[in-house]
Amino acid sequence: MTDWEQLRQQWIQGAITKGRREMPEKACAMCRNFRQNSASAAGDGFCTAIKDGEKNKVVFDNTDAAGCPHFLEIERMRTDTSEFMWDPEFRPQRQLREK
Amino acid sequence: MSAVETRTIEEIEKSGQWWWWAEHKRSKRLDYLRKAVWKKGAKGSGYNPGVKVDLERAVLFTEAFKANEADSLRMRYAKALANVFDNITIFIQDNAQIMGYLGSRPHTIVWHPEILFLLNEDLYNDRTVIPEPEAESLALIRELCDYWNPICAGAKVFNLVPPEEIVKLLTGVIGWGLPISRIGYATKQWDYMFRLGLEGILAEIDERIAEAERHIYDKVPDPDELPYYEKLDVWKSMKVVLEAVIRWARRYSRLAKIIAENFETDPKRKEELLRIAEVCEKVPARPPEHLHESLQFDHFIQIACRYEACEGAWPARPDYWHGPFYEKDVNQDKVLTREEALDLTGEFLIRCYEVGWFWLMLARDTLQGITGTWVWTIGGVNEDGTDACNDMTDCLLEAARLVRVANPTFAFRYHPGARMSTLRQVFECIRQGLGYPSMRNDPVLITNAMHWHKHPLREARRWVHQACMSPCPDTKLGCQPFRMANATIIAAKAIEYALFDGYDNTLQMQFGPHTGDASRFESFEELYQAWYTQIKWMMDTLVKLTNGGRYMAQYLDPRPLLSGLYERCVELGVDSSHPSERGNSWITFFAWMETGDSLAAVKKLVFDEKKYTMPQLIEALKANWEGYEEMRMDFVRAPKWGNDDDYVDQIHVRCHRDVARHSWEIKDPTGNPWPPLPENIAAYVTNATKVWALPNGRRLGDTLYDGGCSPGAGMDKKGPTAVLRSVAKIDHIGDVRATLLNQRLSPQQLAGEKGFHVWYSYIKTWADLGIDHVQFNMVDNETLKAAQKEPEKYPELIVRIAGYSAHFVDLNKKTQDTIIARNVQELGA
Ligand code: SF4
Repeated sequence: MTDWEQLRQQWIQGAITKGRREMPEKACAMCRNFRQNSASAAGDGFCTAIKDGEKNKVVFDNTDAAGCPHFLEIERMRTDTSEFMWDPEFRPQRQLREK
Repeated sequence: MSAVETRTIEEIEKSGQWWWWAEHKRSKRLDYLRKAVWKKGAKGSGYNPGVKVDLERAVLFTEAFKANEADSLRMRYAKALANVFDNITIFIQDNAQIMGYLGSRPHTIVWHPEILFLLNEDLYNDRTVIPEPEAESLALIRELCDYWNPICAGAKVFNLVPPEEIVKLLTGVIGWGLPISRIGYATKQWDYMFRLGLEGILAEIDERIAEAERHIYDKVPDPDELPYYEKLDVWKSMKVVLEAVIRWARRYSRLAKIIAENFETDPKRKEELLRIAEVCEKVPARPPEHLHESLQFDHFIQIACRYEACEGAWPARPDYWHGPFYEKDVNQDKVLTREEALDLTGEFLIRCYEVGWFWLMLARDTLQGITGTWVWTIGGVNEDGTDACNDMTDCLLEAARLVRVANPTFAFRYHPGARMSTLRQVFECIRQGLGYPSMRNDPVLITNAMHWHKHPLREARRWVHQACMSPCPDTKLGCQPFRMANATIIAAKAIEYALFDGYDNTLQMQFGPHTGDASRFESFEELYQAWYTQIKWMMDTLVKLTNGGRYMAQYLDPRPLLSGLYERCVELGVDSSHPSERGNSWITFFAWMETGDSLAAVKKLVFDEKKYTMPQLIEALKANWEGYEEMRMDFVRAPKWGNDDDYVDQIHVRCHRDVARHSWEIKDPTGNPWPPLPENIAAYVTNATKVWALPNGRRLGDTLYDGGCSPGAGMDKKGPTAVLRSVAKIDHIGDVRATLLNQRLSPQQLAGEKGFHVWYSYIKTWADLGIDHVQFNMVDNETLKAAQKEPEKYPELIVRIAGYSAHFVDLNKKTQDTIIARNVQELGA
């Protein structure tokens, strides 16, 4: 299986088998290195700091980041949950609770 | 509205607070209906409080789909949809005269679980729209997700192309959307439907079935008969669902009659309900003969199609199709007063505004404030070239000012013979701050349709907006069954890739082809060719998947209802996605105008003036300009589009020409080219985090340019005429399928009679220059800033985003700020 195939499978499987997600205290969604796959709102994405071979590691918005040494917290811009509450530079489509 | 208004109408007019004016001016009925409506467009990316997902449609659809496993996929879809029409809860709202609702309650949005597993998971994880009791609803949603996720249309489309391409697409950094027919922008063929009614179409289908059966059974076996097996299935599935639509309409007829005869005590309303019962008994089964019937027919069909699919656009030309009924009822037979017609028309707009479905967060974010880009086409010419403006055009424009909905909006097909009374109505809508109609140059776009897609003249004159910008004839061979939305590219990424050898800085992965280390480029030409390779790669990658998706949709994702409404499909016995129409594809180019501005800045500062070197530029960009502020400002000050400066304008023109040339090399499933169509909706904000720093001085996260050919916000320093002169350098027939120009005008300057003449002379200049589109915002910054502070006082303040309008208070702060930042142009300056 090529890397890309693996990536596709991870995304499809990930989205299909996931249940309703609980957001850990510290999650990839709160990290500047996380890039959400924007066709999906189901939380699939990449970590841009950690690689699996040549490709970026697949993580989800609710992946527990408690033990991650690369975690860099994004800044919040506004706190009304409609959106745009994050660092404008890395504002992803991440639905998180208000601080 | 909450506050009590005590000013006189004249005082309100003077203040320019037209939303108060509308409230005073509209009839009691329209006022009630407007206030009773639930807003289904997302506020930012979340739904408004109280809006809940409707599970009835999903359950009914799934039940019948499961119960008919032995049938073909298209027949299962047809039976599933028929089950919805036969059983979904219906209701009649007080004061309403037009029936048909998408969902089982006024506050609900429907969910189509058969489309995309990502959407399903998004719903399961949503925090606001799950109906009470939540635990029960969640269990049901989970069950439906588990059933549909592996077999939905999206899962099948994912496997159509090599994994690398689908993964790149799904990141959202090079484009968006998936070619799924149930996420369609389907043109409706009204001449066919209004001529025959659904019963007439069913009679045609019966004839085809009888003929096919003769082919198969009345002669000795031969291979020619074999295609008829599939055709029979197509026709029979059309029949199942068309008959169900008639039954659904008649359920409203019965309900109206029951209420009238058993419950209604007001004699006037009782009479109205009985009339509603008659209308719904008659249409859409039979052709309409009166305005109420034609509007009701139209609305039933639009809603029925949205039970079948998430039709994200609403191609329509209501004055053209309803105008003859208005003329007959109001002007000739006088069976309807103008006020009554206005009430019906206002309600017709409100009924469209209330349509909503549960939609991907990405789409909600990109279309803030609305459900889809529902741009209705008005004005223009008839097939014989005469002016098509009529009293229904004026009635629609007046109704729009009274109900002030953000969806649908109008686009006016301007031509030199357009009648003056209608132009005044158009101006009045713009002056009153609706942000619409947008103005389309009819002669240019008719020629454009003939140039790119070879539509014959008479058919090209029948064009409607397929979505917010692209023209498409609503004729038998013109109607386009779906938008194929993934042919939408974020064009500015091609500049980024040209500068970084195809590497994506945002995702930190190799995306585009290797075009060389740009720090070693020794000429502008090298950079330009690298860019051209990258943009062609993006176009090819996205079009390849779209073509595959479009062709395969007839098998993977058929639409029996839409197919049954298309003459070509009934005639041929094919699904709507079968590529037998003339073809009308386009590639939407988001973030396009950054291209020329970026290339021009590099040419000037690196290759012509040699103030900086390529390695310096690459370093500065890599650092997202951090630590290079002085250098960045030089790049910001480099020549920019919109100032009639040939240095930069000619680079833009060259980029347009080269992309247009490549458009002819890539073909859609009908054999037609894929012309570019630059515009942005609200994606100029949402894509800001996906496009890395650029040589036009932009940093990662800065909003992108808002239009398709608009200058960057604040970059147009020389007034509106210079903007028009720059924009006119693009050939609006041969370079693009269409392109979008945003302009902000000052409300003070356009006040009174003088204001109309100032605007009209601007429009004449714009038209003479051959520009295909312009849209205006005419709300001053004071009002916009006040609305940011106290949104509750400005619920109906409307602004034009880019390709659609929205209530200002429904936009996120960043989008609001970008509208305030656009330069206000003084006409005649
Ligand atoms: S750096 Fe760590 S926390 Fe951040 S996205 Fe990557 S894995 Fe998650």
